[in-house]
Amino acid sequence: MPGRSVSHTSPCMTPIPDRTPFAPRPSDRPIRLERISWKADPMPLNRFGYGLRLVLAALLLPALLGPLPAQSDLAGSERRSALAPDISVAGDLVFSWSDEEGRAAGADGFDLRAVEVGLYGSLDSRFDYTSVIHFSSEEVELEEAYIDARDWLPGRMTLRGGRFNLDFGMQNRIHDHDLLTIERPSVLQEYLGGSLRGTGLELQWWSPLSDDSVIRISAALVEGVEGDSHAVLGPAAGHEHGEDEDEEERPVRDFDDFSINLRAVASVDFADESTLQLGGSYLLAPENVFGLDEDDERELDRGVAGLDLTYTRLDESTRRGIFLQGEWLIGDRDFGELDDNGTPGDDLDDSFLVTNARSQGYHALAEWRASRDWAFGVSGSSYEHAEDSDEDSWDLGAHVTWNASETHQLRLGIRKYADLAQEEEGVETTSDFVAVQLQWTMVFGRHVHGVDW
Amino acid sequence: MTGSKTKGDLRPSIRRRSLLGGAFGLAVALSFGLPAEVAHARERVEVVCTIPDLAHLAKEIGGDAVRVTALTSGNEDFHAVRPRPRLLVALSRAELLLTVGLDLEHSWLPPLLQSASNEAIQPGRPGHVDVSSGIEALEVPCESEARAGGHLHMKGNPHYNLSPSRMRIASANVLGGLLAVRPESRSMFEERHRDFCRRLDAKIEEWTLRMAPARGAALIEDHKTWAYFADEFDLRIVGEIEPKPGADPSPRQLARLIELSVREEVRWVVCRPELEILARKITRGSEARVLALDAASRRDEKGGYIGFIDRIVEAFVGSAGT
Repeated sequence: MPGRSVSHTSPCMTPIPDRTPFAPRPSDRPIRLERISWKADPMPLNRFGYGLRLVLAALLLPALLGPLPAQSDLAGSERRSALAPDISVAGDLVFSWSDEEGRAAGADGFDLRAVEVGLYGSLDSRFDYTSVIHFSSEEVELEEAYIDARDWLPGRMTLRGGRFNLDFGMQNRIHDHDLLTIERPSVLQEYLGGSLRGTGLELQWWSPLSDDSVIRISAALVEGVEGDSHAVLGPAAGHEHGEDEDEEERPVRDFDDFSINLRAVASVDFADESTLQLGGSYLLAPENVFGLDEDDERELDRGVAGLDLTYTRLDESTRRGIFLQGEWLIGDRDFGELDDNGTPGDDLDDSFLVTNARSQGYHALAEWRASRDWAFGVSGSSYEHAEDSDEDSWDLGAHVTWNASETHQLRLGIRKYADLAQEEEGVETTSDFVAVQLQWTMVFGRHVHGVDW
Repeated sequence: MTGSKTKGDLRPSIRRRSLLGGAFGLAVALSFGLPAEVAHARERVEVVCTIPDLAHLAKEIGGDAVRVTALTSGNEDFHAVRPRPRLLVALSRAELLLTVGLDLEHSWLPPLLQSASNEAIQPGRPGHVDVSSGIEALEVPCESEARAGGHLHMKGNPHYNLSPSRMRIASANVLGGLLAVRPESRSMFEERHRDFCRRLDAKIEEWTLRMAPARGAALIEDHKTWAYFADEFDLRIVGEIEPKPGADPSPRQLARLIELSVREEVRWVVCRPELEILARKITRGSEARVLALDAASRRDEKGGYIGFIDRIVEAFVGSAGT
């Protein structure tokens, strides 16, 4: 089926080039959000200089914090020294194949999606640090760098500070190479821009409800929220992460401009094999923009709410079981547009219009784990477009995963995309195609996961 | 749905403040107010063990003074336990944590400990006991082996629970842990420990006698697991089914194992129950018997740890006709 080109421009309004709530923004809309991005920098040297400074900062942070507190209470401790962190390296190579329309959408051969280096360690008995540096063919990015302060606050509270993936839904904290599908669900790409990340503080708390169930709540106050996508295919494909090209022109920030992310989740074990989990998430991320001029500051709200349900049944002796997951999202976003009221070149009669768009979508995944080595799954997304609920898209696919060894995994997937919308320089196109993808992931070194909240 | 908003609209600010305040207030209130927090009177020592074998030792020594929870049921892959709520709850309430150590639990226990927020059982605290202390590890990889990859245990083979004489050492570490958290029960714990050691010593003599005819016999294992058992009863391990940890053998590797089984006069191919079909292929053309055995006791093992070794020895002796 040939691609259909759909323009969202109108004669009297400036275009709305960014589709996803947390996707890159155009340069003519100064905003306050700070981003770590080098794509907009015309000087590659400077770009790498900035990247290298961040990478070095992540590597040297533990050293700079030394000398460490005396650890007399840790005689014989298994904790690693802050200067000898555990290191992991993960590689993610994807080959995509499709017809002409699919190739135009990104399914055009090999893509070294990421090489990710993780550093993990303890500063002392109460502080752990994590740094994750992402290398791709186009950039070096400090994905996450944070410290967890535990056993420090009352109750079972933990404070996380730094740059981290927000606690939103079940998949937002999972890095791409650890996903159960080759691509992050399209609805998450559409509404979150991939995975949400920000810089700030997050308070986490959990408590037992019984011997087999727990409740957990987290609240984060962050700035610089961005959707980070390494997707090869999907609504956010091609948007490595959000760019802010005019940071120096942003309006002054006040307390209310920070983003708030909330999540509550209840998790129940049924015997040794089964766990059911219900979670709800909400993100409110304001965006300050200039309206008609620099004296005209406007606040645009962007919000996403999600409800997720996950069921896991796994026989740990045979590694056989099933995994079911579904998530429903509602996006609510203000859009600001400059209206020249039909008089091109005359700024005096311009006005700044704020409109609100609400949309919803969902994704679902079912996977059968046939053995410790093999898993078979189906998954799909259906969603209204974030900026226009009259437009919608869906995709449906199947995958098979082979864990070739403890360090290597191969995954073959096939997916039908219907009305997949992508944009190029402000012009949106939609396409229908079937893509076949082969993913090879390698993980070396320490790579542990805690409770999947 | 569309709508519009003016510059002076204060709705978003109020909404954010309310949300933030509400969330913080709820978290603080729940932190100090949930009944679950106060419902656990600590009359008995809350002991949490990573595998059932350690739980059996803790029960033997602690008796009615302890409440023992095993985080695993005994038939899992101990390298890949799924972190889940009940494990977290158990760890959060524990006064004493007994671990196998030697990196057996390194992929799943540390993040659980981190989430559990229970300072009493963090590494280095008296409530955190690495039971491998004092046990000389076997199969510690040399540098070249370490470079070969796989999930090698750099500190050595962690499956010492299959050696009863080493578990005697482990029982002393369990006793030490209990004394550290409940010193007022010293005499009771020590008396029960002496009694357990007496019974274990007698059984070690019996098991050694029963296994004596098999001395020097060869076996193939699925995964580097049975070294301590072989060392205890003077058996020879001549190969592993998995060419690398977690990987099934290729047809060529399988052919080599079949040839090895014949050449070395392998008496047993020992494997986890889920690999029994694969193990049977190796015994083609040889006298070897397949022993599908878990490498740890079950939570509900009849006779506890001693009953478990009884079952293992009986499996070896019975299948070999010795």
